[in-house]
Amino acid sequence: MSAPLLSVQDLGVRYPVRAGLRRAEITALAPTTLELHRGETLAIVGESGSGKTTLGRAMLRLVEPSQGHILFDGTDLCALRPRALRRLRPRLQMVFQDPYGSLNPRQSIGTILGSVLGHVGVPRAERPARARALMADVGLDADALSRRPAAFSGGQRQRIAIARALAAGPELIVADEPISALDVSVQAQVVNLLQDLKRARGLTLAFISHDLGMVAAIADRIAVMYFGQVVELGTAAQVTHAPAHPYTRMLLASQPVPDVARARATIRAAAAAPLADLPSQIAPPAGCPFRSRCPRALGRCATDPPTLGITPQGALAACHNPEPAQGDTTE
Amino acid sequence: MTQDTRLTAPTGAHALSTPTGARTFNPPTGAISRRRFGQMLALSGLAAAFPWRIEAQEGVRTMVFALPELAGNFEPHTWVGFGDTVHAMDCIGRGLTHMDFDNPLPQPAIAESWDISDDGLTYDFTIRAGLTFHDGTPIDAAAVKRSFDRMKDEDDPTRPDLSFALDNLGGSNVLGFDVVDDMTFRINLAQPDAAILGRLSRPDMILISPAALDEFGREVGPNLASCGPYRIASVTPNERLVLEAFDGFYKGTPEVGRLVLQVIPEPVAQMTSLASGDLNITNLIPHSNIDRLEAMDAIRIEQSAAFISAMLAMNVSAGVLGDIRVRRAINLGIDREAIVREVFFGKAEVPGYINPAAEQGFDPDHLRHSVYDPDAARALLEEAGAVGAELNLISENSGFWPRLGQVVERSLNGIGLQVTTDYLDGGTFNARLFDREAHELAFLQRSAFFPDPDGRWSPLFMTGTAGADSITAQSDLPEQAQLDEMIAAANAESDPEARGQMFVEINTFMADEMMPIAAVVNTFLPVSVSTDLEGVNANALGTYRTFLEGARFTG
Amino acid sequence: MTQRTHEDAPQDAAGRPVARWLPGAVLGAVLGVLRALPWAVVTLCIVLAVLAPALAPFNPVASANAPLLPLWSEGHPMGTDSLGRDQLSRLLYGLRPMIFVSLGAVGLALLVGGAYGVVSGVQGGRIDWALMRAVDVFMSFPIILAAILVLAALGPSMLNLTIAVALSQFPIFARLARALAAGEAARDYVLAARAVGYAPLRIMVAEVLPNIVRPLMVQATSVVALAALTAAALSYLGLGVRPPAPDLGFMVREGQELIFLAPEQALLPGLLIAVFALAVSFCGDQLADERTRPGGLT
Ligand SMILES: Nc1ncnc2c1ncn2[C@@H]1O[C@H](COP(=O)(O)OP(=O)(O)OP(=O)(O)O)[C@@H](O)[C@H]1O
Ligand code: SF4
Ligand SMILES: [Mg+2]
Repeated sequence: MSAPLLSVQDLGVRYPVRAGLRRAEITALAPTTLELHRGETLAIVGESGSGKTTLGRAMLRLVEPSQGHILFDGTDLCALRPRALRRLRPRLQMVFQDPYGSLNPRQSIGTILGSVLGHVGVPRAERPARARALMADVGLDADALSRRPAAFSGGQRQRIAIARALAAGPELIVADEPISALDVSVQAQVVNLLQDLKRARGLTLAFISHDLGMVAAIADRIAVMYFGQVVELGTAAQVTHAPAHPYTRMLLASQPVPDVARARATIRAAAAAPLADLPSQIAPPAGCPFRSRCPRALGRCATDPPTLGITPQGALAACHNPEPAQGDTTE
Repeated sequence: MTQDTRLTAPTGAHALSTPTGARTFNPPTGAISRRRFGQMLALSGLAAAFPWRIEAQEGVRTMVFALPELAGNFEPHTWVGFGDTVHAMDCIGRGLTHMDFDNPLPQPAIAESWDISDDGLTYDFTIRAGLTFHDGTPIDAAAVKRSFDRMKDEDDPTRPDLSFALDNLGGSNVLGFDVVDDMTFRINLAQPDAAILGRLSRPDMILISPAALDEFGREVGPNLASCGPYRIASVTPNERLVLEAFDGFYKGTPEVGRLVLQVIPEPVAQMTSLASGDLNITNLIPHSNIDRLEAMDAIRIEQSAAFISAMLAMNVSAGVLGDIRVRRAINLGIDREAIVREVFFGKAEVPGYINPAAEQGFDPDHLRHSVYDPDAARALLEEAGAVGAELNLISENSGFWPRLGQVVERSLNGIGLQVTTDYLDGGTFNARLFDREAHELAFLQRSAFFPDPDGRWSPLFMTGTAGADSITAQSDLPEQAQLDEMIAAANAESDPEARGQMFVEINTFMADEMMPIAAVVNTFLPVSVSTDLEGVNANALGTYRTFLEGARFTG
Repeated sequence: MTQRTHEDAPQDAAGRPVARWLPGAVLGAVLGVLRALPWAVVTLCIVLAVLAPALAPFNPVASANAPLLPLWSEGHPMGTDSLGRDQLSRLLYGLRPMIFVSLGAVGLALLVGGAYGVVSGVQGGRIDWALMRAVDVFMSFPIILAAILVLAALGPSMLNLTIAVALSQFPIFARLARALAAGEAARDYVLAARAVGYAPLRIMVAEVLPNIVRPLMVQATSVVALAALTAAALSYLGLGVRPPAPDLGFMVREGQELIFLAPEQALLPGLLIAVFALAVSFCGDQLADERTRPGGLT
């Protein structure tokens, strides 16, 4: 593959919080290194609170990273001054999880698109036509331009949000759970729309989701996150068919997959493990954060934090005791 | 606030003049026999009172007077506030001389007589025999000297910070004090100063018991023992001062046995207290309510002489005001009748010039300096080319000043000037008043702490004073030198009649030749008393002084 | 069923049903009038103030007749004041400083405090912390004292009075705007605007501001009354417009001295201040109610 479009190196995000009277920090994203290649779709999956949104936003420097670097097309976003960063921003766009909050309720769709177009230098005279074209691209009527977001359904709003991202003329779009707030019936439409646009425009897509099954269908590669860390990273086939990390396996099992027996086995195994909540983010445990729920935990899992390493399947996983290559679930 | 506390006396710009012959002032002796009578009365009361004493105490009539405020510090040589520094001081203290505001001349008090040397530089005071302070310490020349040394001797351990008493006595013109013999006290002056007899009646000139000074030092304020008609029984700061009649007072024990100075700052509260009989005397009720109060049965309004003057100072260094025709026009353009009617509701009078009618120095001829003649005023302005001139007037924004400002502004605009008035808080007002660059027209108030004709002259209008140098800037005028000389000559004249006539001429000279001041109005603090009280010194109360020893109940 | 309706109907203490003598329509009409009343009063006051030059029968600063004429005197329905000026004319003109100053001051406070709060809320972080501590310090300063200092420094005039009153209201708007803006700044549309690369100023003005303007306006209506009272209090202290220009607060003060002789001198201007402040605050309450009612504003 060619040089990556975006590469993050040791990117970490910590938030200051108050724990009682103490000041503390929580690690929303442990130092993470990964690359996005031109034209690919990278899916980021994980349960709620695992740091997907934080990673997605930090990649675009929409949250201020505490450490690490973001190289976009060779430019270090973290080293840029605010003005230069703003100039670069149209090339990196985002589609948000909540279509009800991501559109300014006081502006008409035309105004929203028009100002983005204006910002990227489209002459005033051309903006209406461009806006209509964008609406057509996302499958909406042009007369929608005169209305405000309140007049649209969730699915329509998400299309508008996609149109806004496209209006900036991006090379990379981070879509943060763009369908999780939508009815099942329109989820597929939006996913397909994104896929089509990506293909038509040669975009690079980072697609955040908690639905590993759905992601398997559209992603080239998948990053699985748990507790602020990427715990497994591989091709879609590797991750979905031969998961190496026990957590990935558990996620797959929680999906409505036909192999009922296998799913049951995993769920039972997870249930048999001592019941524990997610570990504390303020005082993270010493070893593997998944230990408390892991059916394959070893003694050293309690003391040594695992780091990403090559798995027997050829992917990357952070586990001392990864699943064997053939996907054998017997103990 | 009276200007009295803001301006200090000149420090010796008195020209030499031919000394007149020494004269002795001998008062009638009736006071002494009254005092003896009082002493006997008190002694017999004490002897008879043993088992009934408390009863008898409670039978004592109490007179209540309203105070604006009370800090409870009666240090005479610093300014605490009207409540402490004037009202309380006048009831508790007494000095060598007294001015009762009826007689324009100083009268004997603790001094029963005085001799003035031929050159006018030495004043020998004969101390009345047999007097004591409230604490029983005898009053002799040495005790008197102790009170005066405390003004002058910077090293006196009992001298308070910011002592201003010496300035009010004559500043550096006062060379020193001597004990001539047991009962003769001497003041030595550098230049003759006939006003000193009047100054000795000021509240800051009261005598203090040496025993109290020894005991309390600089803390004598809350523990004052003087020799006035009443002595302190108890003090509750911000509330009341309870006084009891002093049986050793030189004029005899006051008839009213108990005097309570009660803090009642609000005029409305004073009026209701007067009506209910909880208050017997006050001079704090505004003029506007006097007619209404007078209609009430339980209250009488005393007739007071108008010793409080409002004047309009014209800064002769400011623009068109440098032209005497403009100043004369302004003087002619003030509608004083309207001011008496609208600002003081009739409780005021049209003045002559600087000295009010009740003081020496006044002459009916001076009334021509306060005539309202808008046509003549306009003609003068036209002649001076000052029609439409813009002028700024500064006024305080409390009391009657805003109303006065509006009427003066109105009548001056009526003669073709364009006057705007700034109504300022006291601090800002004073800052601008004392800066000749910061005002054009300014109001000036002068009350008589003692009705000596010089009270308004050497502290205000002689070269070197803030009044002449900064407020009117009249020191710049060529006529000022002659005015200075005239004032100095008058103060070197120890014959009261001749001296009074010299001040008549001083008024005429400044009005005719200089006109840096337009006299606006003379008024008084309306004195409201219960109808069953008589003998209240209304003239004194009308100008902030509080001599209540003559009061008695009729019912 | 019958039993049920009985229970729903209003009952007296003994549990017997009370006749509903007020049909809903009448009640509604009465309520409607009551709701309209404060608006009518405020409008009337503003109209009177604006039209004072046309309505006043006399020049408010010139003596028109004898001093202290009583109410209902010939030609002077409200009498004259102690300087013989027509009281009706003075009352009409006296409305102007109070109304202009209170509206102007609230407008100014809204503008400045709003901008300040938006910067604080949108920028967040240390800037937010510093700006809000400054407001805290400001608020710990007594309002009237601060206003007196301002007026002492700038000198009394209608504009300076407006500035002083605006200053006293500034923290209200700064805090409200900050809270509202911070709430908006956390919403995704602001993030989207940042993602597009808009400058912070543009985000504040074009994105955040339109979304918080209405609650700010409602707040503004509800503090006009406070502003009017502050303005009146400052004029009462002699810090308002320069006499002889009429001003209700100062008229109360001038009249207070005459409270026994001519009580109307203080009572009439006092009443006008109270009526205006009360009406304005009722209007503000109505707007605030509408805001919290489902289907209302915002
Ligand atoms: N501004 C913040 N301050 C403090 N903690 C934060 C902040 N934003 C996120 N977090 C914490 O960081 C962790 C990761 O949050 P993030 O939103 O990235 O998770 P997510 O995987 O996107 O979850 P979801 O699926 O619910 O969107 C969470 O525990 C969250 O509570
Ligand atoms: S490191 Fe240990 S605890 Fe963690 S996932 Fe692997 S086996 Fe489980
Ligand atoms: Mg998320």
